[in-house]
Amino acid sequence: MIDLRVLALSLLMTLSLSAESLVQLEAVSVQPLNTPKVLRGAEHFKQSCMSCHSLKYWRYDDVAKQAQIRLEDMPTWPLDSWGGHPPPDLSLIALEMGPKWIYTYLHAYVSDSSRPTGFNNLVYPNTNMPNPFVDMQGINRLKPEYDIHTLHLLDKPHWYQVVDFGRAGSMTAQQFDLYAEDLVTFLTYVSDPSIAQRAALGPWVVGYLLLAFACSLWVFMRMQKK
Amino acid sequence: MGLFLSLLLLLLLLRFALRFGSGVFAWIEQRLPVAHFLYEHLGRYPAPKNLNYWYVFGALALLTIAMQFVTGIWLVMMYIPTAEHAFSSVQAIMREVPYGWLIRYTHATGASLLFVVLYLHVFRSLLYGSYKQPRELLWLSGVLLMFLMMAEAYTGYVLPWGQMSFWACKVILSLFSTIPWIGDDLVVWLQGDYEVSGITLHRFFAFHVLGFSLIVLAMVFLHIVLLHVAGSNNPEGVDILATKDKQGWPKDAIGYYPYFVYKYIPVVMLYLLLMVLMIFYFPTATDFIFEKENFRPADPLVTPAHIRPAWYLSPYYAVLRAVPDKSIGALLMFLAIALWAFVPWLDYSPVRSMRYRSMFARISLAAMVVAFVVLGIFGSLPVDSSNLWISRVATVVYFSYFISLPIVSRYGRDYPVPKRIR
Repeated sequence: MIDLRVLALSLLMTLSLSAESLVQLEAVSVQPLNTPKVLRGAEHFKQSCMSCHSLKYWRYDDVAKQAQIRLEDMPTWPLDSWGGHPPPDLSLIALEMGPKWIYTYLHAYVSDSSRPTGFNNLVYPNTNMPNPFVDMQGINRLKPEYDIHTLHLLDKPHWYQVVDFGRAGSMTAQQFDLYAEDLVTFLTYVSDPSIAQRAALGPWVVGYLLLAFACSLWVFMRMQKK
Repeated sequence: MGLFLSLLLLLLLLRFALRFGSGVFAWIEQRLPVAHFLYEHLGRYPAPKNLNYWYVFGALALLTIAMQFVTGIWLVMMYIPTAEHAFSSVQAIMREVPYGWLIRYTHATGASLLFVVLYLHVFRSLLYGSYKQPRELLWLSGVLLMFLMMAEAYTGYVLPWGQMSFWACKVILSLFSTIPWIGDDLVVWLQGDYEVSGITLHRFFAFHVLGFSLIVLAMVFLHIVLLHVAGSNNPEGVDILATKDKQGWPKDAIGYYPYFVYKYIPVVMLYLLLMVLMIFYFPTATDFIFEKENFRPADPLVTPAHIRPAWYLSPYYAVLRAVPDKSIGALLMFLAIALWAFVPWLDYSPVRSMRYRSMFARISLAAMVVAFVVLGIFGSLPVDSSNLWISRVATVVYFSYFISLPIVSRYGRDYPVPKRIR
């Protein structure tokens, strides 16, 4: 019993320590098997991300074909561009950072005049990435009682608890949530496209082994009776 | 359905071939007695009649090692062992090679499950005293195999050349620098460069696919030979060879085939089911098989915040961190595995099975197992003062098993062992 509790505690601790975010990571429903959603995410990626980010390990598959994404259109940056920090490749970002991290990151931009881009991020403080969603999400700012440099002293609030919603963008909050969710779904699909094949093949293999288990058990039990 | 039909067809064909080819088979059998060999070592292998499900893990380990060899060969076909291409060739395997993801996920999941199986296999030996006379060399070959498996797992873990591959490689290699006098030169010699680099990767590749795996193959063969010389122990710890019938067959034994083969096949199916469920629905096992950091290509300039070994090595890593001095920590880490080699000579009690061992013996085994699990958990957590102290206590408990073994086995009051299996 004690071991179980220790295990649960250790799991919790590893989860909470895996990101140095200032705010809590929000739950997101990722559905990489929902093709229309993945396709919508692909469209969003083309629109909002692909001018800077590449997906170099992605292959030209049905999703790329249907979303009309040409892989050769993806940007390639020399290592010394952007002051030595070129925009990272996003092929594996969903496996590296996790869907919750990306989803919250996309929401958590706040205006900050001390940054060269005019924005800071509560999930990834001092990010070099400009806010791509000014027109859609609008501009949020940190509530006057909070300071981004002391936010880590708080016990991980939700990002929406510490921001004032400023000028509205072209999307409602729900629309923007869905937009980010689609994007995260698409990135999750791209990080491991085998998921479609796994989902198609999995039940057959599992069923076969269950049957083999039942048959072999039956044979053994009959043998034991004799 | 198709699978079953084809299997049926195959069986029919085999029968057909056997009937018409019996002359050929007899000719071969006369010169290379394969069937006789199998009969001798399965049908006529005297297995104690009370073998329980704890005895399945040896067979499962053999099966998993075979799977590792097969999937490994296919991975080598597509993998490129250079610092420039290792990471992207792994992604090519995952995305471009037909069923490449299946091969790679099976290899990675198989490695983790192999350690689950091996640890349970070792626990079985401790539980029923399988290391005792006359099976000391069998046990020693097992300890050596455990070392080899760890070397195999460690070199294999480096090959994807992600961040965790690189930094785990660096941390473990740095342990060799604590060896007095030759340490630093040894590290340079091992990594083939003044830093961990593509050269290190390339030689780890050689060790992983050829060096260690060939020795593993030889040792597995030796392990089975030694088992078949000494015969299987059993849950009662009774020496079945002491009572034989007139034909020289132990009275408490039955042939391994067919009874135990049929008994263990359902377990094998369950094991494969578990493996398939993990591969198809839970391949990263939340950081336990594929660490998040390892999806970022190796970068010698960026140290990950929290470097940790794979779960099956974390108990030893916890021992290393529990000791303030690095050289003594590294020595204890080595001893945490190497001391197992001496267990047959530390345990004086002639009684094998825990069923007839004293209460002290049972308690000390249980305490060691709990300490091992605790070390495993805390070895994978980031260090802070409270879990450091828990690791220290667990380290003391773990090593006190070896220290107390001679005392417990000499003064503990064991129960009388029956002559026959009931």
